[in-house]
Amino acid sequence: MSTLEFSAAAKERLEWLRTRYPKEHQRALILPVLSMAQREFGWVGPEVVHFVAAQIPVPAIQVEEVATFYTMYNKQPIGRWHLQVCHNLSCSLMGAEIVLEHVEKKLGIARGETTEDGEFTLIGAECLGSCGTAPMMQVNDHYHENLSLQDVDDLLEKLRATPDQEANPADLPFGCGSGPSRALPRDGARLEAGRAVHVPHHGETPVTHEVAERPKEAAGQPVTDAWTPQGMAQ
Amino acid sequence: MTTDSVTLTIDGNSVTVPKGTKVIDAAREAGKNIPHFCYHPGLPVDGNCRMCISDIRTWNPRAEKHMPARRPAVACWVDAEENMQVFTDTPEVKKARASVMEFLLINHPIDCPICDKAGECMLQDYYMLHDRAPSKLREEKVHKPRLVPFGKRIVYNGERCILCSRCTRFTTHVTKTHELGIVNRGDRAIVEVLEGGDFANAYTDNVADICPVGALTKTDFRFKKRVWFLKHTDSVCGGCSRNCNTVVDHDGSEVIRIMPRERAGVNDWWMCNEGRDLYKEHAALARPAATLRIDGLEGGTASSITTWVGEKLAEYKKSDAAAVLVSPWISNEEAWLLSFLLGKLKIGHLDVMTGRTEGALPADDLLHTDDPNPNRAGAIAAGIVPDKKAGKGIDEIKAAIEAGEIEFLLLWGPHFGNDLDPELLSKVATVVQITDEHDAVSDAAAAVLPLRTWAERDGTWTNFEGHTSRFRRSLRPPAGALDGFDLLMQLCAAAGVKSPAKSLRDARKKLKQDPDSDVRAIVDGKFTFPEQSALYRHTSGAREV
Ligand code: SF4
Ligand code: SF4
Ligand code: FES
Ligand code: FES
Repeated sequence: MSTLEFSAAAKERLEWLRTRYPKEHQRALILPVLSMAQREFGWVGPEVVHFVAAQIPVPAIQVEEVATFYTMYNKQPIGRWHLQVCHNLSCSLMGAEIVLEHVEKKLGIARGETTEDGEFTLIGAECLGSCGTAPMMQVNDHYHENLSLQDVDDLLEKLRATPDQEANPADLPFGCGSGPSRALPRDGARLEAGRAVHVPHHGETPVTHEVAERPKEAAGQPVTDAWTPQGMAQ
Repeated sequence: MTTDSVTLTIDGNSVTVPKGTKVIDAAREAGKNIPHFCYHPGLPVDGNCRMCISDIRTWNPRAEKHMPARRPAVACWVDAEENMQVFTDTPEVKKARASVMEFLLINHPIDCPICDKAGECMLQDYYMLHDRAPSKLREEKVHKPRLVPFGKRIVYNGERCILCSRCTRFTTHVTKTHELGIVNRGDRAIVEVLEGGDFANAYTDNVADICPVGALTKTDFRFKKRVWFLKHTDSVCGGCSRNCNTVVDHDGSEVIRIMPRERAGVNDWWMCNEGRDLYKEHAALARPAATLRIDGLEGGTASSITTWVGEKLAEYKKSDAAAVLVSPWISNEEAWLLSFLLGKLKIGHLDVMTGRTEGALPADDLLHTDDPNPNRAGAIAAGIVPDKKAGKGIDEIKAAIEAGEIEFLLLWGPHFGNDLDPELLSKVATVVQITDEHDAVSDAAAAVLPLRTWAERDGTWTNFEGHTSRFRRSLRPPAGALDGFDLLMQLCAAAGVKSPAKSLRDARKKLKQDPDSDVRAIVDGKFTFPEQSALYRHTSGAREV
């Protein structure tokens, strides 16, 4: 049997999470419990998968399916700092490859590798939704944007010098929807980590899309090609 | 019309189905096979392959017209509705279907020449029926693991897999053993057995049957035979009293594999691994030869020995010194004729033996029962029971043998070893053995008549729940092996008893047995499946008797 165990805070959160899903849909706990496990144990290897499955409980294979589907679950052990440099379109246009190569050279590792001292793991990430401030990288839970190579150097040094911090129970996941006490700031303010979040709220003009009118049905004639993919019309 | 049913049209043909029926099932009812990969009548709907897309138009009562479909919908997912119009073959549907085929084939290795599924592969068949276009792909195809053992019996080829999730739904919903899952995402997705886990439930081979492509193959069948060389004969598994309906795939002299055949209320679509391996036991059988060991009469032919046995039986008419023990492998027709004959001769010491005990798996929730013999229920129903007044049951017969009261013992069928040891049998003056298996007793019995096995003769068995299933002759019997029913007809003649049936067929009629009467009305065999595909034979229901 697995020797893993959740911290007291995580156990408490788990019990609270259970109440958030209907009895017959406890399977939905896989996502939040996995991410809780990742926070507690660093990565979700086979042992953690079985552990999470036993907590819910669901068959382990279902947890494995979820854990491997989402890239944000680490299937390998990672270093103390998880550097995820975005290399999708906007960031690439703004020099993400240069940033990536720079970090690689600086740390002496390739993408997907961890430094020998266990400090850093580097990966190239797909769009992290921060295109407006490209190039950017996510370090653990925090975004660092508008990066210059100098910023990167400073950041790496700062990270190295930062001691481990006590886990903050407030960081534990609340699952879908919002938690009871941690509603996001409503005014689109920046979160402390420097991540710009714009939270739409009531009273804001919703974005609307023009909806093209559908072809009219001719009298008696069914519209048969209404959904013929473009370029495939007869 | 009740509110519990809805009437809709499929390509212009009206059909009425219960509410909640999926369009694809309604189409089956109307005799139309909508092409599909992920849909399987025995599994929950998943709707992932999109092959079943059709033009499905709902009736708008306010506008009093059918609403044109905005986009193709999947027939396996949409519920049939009152007044719905379904078109499965319009040019648009065909085009969309061809696109689905193209998509499914993008990364498919098309290694049909070395693929065991070729010839019964839905991807192949549907490509020929619905696509027939050359690949447009110029890039390197995606590579995935290709030789992954899933337990000892199944091999997985990730490149051939179309991720229809039939196999994972089988382990999730049918066996509920949860071994298989689809891991990773997009073009990296593969089916996997959880690390450290095993794929070893008693029903694993079914996943290879339902895999629409050659992604899951059975170690027992891999590279053994191209499927188009196989002959298919409807049969029944004798591995336990479930009587799973099967198809024996053979080449006339040798069984190559056994596959399940759809039979609602008996085995639905499945069968266990043990039942599939039964052919190996069959191939290894030591067959007896017709023998007579009576002073002055040695070395007769099968028919002269049969006559001798018949006359001997008649000699023991109304006698207390004769007993008959029958194996639960006897067919209903044979059991019926045998009990008729013995009734006429007033030989009342008659019972069914324990039969086979080796291979007894514990009964499980799915199919397997705890009696590893096919026809105990049928034999009893057909009259293999001690005579009501003075007949002895098996235990009393054994006691009578022990006491030296039995002079003539007829053993019908194999596997009596669990009831009678040779020492006990040595106390009987005349032992007649009619069997398909040569054993210790065959070396000592006064007369031995070789019988055809379940794979070599026709008959019906009745399972523990009273469903009767018919097996047909698949293999050429070895020279000299006798058909049980014919043999009994001869015994009747020799014993001077007029047989109540002219033929096996007649017997079945007199038995009032219609082995197919409880077969569900909707069976795959009725659908317009691509006829060149052997695959569908395995999902066909029982055919006409
Ligand atoms: S292995 Fe076969 S049954 Fe399983 S998902 Fe792949 S194609 Fe479907
Ligand atoms: S469950 Fe019984 S009848 Fe069915 S395949 Fe297995 S052994 Fe044969
Ligand atoms: S492309 Fe980098 S954040 Fe979107
Ligand atoms: S059969 Fe309907 S989507 Fe696969």
